[in-house]
Amino acid sequence: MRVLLIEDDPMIGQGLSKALAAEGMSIDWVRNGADASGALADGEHSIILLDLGLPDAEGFDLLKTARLNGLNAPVLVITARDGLDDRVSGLDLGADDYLVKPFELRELLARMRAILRRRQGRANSRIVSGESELDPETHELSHGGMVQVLPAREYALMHALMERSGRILSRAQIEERIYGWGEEVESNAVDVLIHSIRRKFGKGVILNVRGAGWMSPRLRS
Amino acid sequence: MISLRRAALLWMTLLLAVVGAVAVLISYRSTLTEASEFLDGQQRQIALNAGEGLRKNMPPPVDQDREDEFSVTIWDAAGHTIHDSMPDVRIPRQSRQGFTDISVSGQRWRVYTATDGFKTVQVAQRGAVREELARAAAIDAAFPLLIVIPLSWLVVGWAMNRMLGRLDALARELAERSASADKPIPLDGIPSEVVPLVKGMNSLITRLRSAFELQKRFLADAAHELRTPLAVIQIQTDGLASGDDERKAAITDGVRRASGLVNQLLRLARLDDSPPAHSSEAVEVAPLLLGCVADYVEIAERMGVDIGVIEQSQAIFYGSAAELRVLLENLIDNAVRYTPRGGTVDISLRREGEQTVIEIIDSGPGVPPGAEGQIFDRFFRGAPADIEGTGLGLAIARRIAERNAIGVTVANRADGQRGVLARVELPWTVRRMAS
Repeated sequence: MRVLLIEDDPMIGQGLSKALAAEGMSIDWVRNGADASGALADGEHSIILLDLGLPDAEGFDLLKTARLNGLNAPVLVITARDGLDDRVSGLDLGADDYLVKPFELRELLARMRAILRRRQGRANSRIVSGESELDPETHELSHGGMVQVLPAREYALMHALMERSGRILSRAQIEERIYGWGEEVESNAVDVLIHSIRRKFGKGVILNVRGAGWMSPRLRS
Repeated sequence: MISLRRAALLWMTLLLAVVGAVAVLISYRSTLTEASEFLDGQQRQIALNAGEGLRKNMPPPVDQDREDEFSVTIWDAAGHTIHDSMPDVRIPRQSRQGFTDISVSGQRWRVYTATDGFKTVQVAQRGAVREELARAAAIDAAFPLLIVIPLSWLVVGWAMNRMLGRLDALARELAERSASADKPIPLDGIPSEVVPLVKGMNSLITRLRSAFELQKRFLADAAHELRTPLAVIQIQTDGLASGDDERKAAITDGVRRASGLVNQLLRLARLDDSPPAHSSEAVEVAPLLLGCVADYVEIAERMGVDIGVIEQSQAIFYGSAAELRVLLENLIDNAVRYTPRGGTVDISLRREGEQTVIEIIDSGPGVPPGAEGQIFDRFFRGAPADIEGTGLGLAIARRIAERNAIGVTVANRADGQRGVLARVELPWTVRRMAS
């Protein structure tokens, strides 16, 4: 896999090049806006890592121009800036994800994998969050090395939670998502479903938030 | 404060009072002179034409003021009194002819004496008569001014209100301006006397704006310069050959802490420098609070802390959602961090009268005795050294509270148990900005 790294800082560029090469990728590293424009125009890379603060160009401008010129490859923005404005405009201009420095290598690799997976269209079907992966076609849930096909209601519950992983869903919100209109719902139905899923995959698959509801973890522990 | 309206009224009143006083004085003096000349003439006429008079003194008409009466006395050559119109007042006979002012039993009299060698006629009148006439004329002169002064208050007040009304419009425009608006205040419709003031404000706005831009630029640069070396350390550490994993983890932990500190410092600097958002957005509090809780569920799980929401209700907050989120996150972060394994963090959201109250109660060690006054200070840490923290969380919370009219208190629990009770009071109504 060919990766285009646009990064002006020599130590970060060199460190990342080595680390990514060690993962079996081939890296083209450019250190200024002029070289970056040329490399982006080539269109030969599977993924682009773009640092926003280049000495001779604004990273966002490069990205905008490249997208207008038909760049199709996914772009992961790496920046030392922060603030919501940067993030929103980055994603608006066609960045696929956003990572703030400093970051750990495994975080970068995970984001790259996620972007590529999404790009290959698999993400449309498979939902990934934290350590869980759910396949809507087979209703298979994999978590912590275990894989099992879930019954319809358990699948619907897991789907609801993983779709909004990292956010709390209340009992009412879960019931609304997994039961149809006018369907009679036992008061402890949700507890029974969650108990059953936890028995198969362990307690970490669904976190209980006392008094508020349940959530599917977003981060890998 | 100086009130233009009050000053105008005061000067107007003073002017009218002075004008009135002068008018009264002039009127008094001129009436006194004129009345004197007129009455002197009459006295002389009476004296020259006085005959023996009626045998009997007739009683005066009912409406005749005794004070105004003339006293007419006639003597023959031998000095016998032939006629005396006022026997009860003995006006001594004057040796000198013409007008004399004398005093008889405490009253001043103006006397005219004429003699032809056979008879002497003396006509006298009280001096008070003339003064009374003058006084009446003075009062007549003062009277219109007593009406004009209050009338002037009404007219001047009305005119001032009309003119100041235009300034009220300017004040409204200023109050409604967003703090980030950089357009100058338009000058049309503003009284020419006030234009220099508005121009001064416009120039101040421009200077503040450029200082603000410079500061923003500085913060962006600082963020970049502080984070880049941390990224270098992290990437180089990750690139080390596997082996001493424990040390690599320690470096990673150090980078994470330094990065957290940089984030908090930048956040605090941004809060210090940017003006508070002027226009408030309506924020639903419950989902925002649950979002903050969700961010800490996994950390709490890992730390063995039971985090829960014990009460929820609907509430709207008018202010900055992003800043309220940071405030709540910092308080929840503290609660989770300070609570030992097996402890609990209870969060509640409810309405109390005119405000919304969020409480975050932990079962940690509590605020150390004597530190209550310092916990909001920058870099103050009430924690034992093994609890990670930047010492900026509560300082940031306090800045946000100040900027959004939020009340925040952090104190030991009042229910006798160990731990901290952090209480956030959100105003329930639309915040009125101080203008």
